[in-house]
Amino acid sequence: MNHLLLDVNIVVDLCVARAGSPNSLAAVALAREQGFQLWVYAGSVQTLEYVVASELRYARQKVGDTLSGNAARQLARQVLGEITTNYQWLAALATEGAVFADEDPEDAQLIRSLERFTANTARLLTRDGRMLERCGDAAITPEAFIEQSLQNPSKPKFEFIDLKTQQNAIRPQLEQNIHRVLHHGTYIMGNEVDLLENKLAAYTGAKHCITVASGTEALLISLMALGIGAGDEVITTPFTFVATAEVIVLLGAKPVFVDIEPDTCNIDARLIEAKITERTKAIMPVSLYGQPADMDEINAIAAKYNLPVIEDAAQSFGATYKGKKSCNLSTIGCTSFFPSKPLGCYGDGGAIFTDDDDIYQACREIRIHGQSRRYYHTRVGVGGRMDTLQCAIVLAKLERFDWEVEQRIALGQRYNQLMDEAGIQRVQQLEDRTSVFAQYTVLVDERSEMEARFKKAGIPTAVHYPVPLNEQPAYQHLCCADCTPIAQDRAQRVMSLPMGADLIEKQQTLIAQTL
Amino acid sequence: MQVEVIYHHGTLTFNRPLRFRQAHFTMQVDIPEQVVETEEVSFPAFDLSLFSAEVRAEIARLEAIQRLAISQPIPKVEEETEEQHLRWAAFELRNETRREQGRDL
Repeated sequence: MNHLLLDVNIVVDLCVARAGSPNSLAAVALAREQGFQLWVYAGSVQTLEYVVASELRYARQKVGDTLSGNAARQLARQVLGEITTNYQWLAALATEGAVFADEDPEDAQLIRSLERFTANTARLLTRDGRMLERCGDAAITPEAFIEQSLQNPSKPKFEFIDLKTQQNAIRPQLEQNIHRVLHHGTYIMGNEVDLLENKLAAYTGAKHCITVASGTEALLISLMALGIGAGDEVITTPFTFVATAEVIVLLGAKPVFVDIEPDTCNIDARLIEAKITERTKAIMPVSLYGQPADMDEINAIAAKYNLPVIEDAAQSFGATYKGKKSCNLSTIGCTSFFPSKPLGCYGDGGAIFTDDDDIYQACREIRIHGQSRRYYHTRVGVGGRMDTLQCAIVLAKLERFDWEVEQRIALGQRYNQLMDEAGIQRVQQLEDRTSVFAQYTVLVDERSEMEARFKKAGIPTAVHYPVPLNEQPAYQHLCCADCTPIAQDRAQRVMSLPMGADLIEKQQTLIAQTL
Repeated sequence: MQVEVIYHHGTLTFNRPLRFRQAHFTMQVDIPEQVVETEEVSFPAFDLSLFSAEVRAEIARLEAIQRLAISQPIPKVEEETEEQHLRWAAFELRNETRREQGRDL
């Protein structure tokens, strides 16, 4: 995405009709259409208020009105409020404060603020000759921008997962949360950690939530809390991200792969019981693509053999199964806050959910090097805490999460309709559960050709997952490839399409047409 | 009576000491023609039909906001405080400095 920072003179043009206004209006309208992110510098607020008020006073004088200073300022604030609704506020940072050595601190602030964008992705839109001179290629007039856009229109770029639009929607809360952590300085186990854990537990309905360093760490700590180790077996699916099996092997245990259902791509619960041995210590279904597996059936088998069930809900936070939230469907639920996940942070993060007090206590201790109190290590643990900053980010995202889940479900259903109309085979969602569509995945026969077609159209795609775990070099000795024929087939045919709460219908239609 | 005054960044200063019976009154001011900015800078105009319907709609939305600012009734507000008056003067100084430099506000 390209960025345009609007200089004060452009914002004034937008607010008050004056000589330069028509071109400034056209430039920002074109920029929006072409997917530019429009920014107004937060450090300019007071200048904007007074300059717009001054120009309004002059404009109304021309039509015979006399505005007092306060009346002009009130009207200015009103019009500024409306004009800036669709733009992003670019926060004034400390580096933009120490500008008094500059001949014009106001200019220096804007110039410095441009420096925080990736090179060549941001420009200052201005009519000010001096700024054009000082900024060089990093500034452009409305007239030059219009001419450039008409000659070489840039198309809005497709994102596989559009985190930028989400960030725009939550920027004020996000920046406030991050700055709070910077100021209180408790970077590990700060208040935000507790706050997030309480909110996540309440959201899922689970009694306990323990935030951890990643989704992988959540699985590892859960297995450690259950005492799983050398010689043990854990039943799971081969059609998943490697972390699911990786943690089992890391503890010296053996993943036992059970094939998947052809329609949902989730573990086939009917095949689990046959794989249970005396060494089996847990069942670990994965809620693939955001949809829980057949948890009632899996829990029933587990109960019969007195086994715990760990739901790998890395992709399904927010989904439901028979009215209950994913992560609260079995002994333990583990999720991931990897940035691209339905609820993601801006780094690594994850969480463990359980109703069991002993498991909760064990997970809490293992997360902090197995200590039950400071420097007293009751058990072997890991450095597995989720840091305060990442918790603060998830807290900001949580405020919009219910809306995002609704959007994801609606967009998933619309995708389904488009695929069904076009006769495209797709992963099915079952009626007794909801998917949060961490991925929207279709099944295609000539995948390479299809990927090339999408690439040409500028639409990103991905494959989740091209090789089942039992065919991966590090794991193939554990199970024969032919033992899971459905997983083998799906790995050849699945293709995921752009998905996210901020996907728009127009984009979906274009994607369906490309298919 | 006629007196000479100096205009400086939004303030008129009398060249000789005077006391007034009223705090507020209207007077006539003689301003030299050559100091008044009359010419509006002109910019190249673009044919709106070159733009998509979406762009034209956005332009129309922004124009409507501009029109509203010009046409809506003058709000009833409190009188300016001394602090607000000083702030106005500060920003007028900024604007005039920029005008002197030939820059846009």
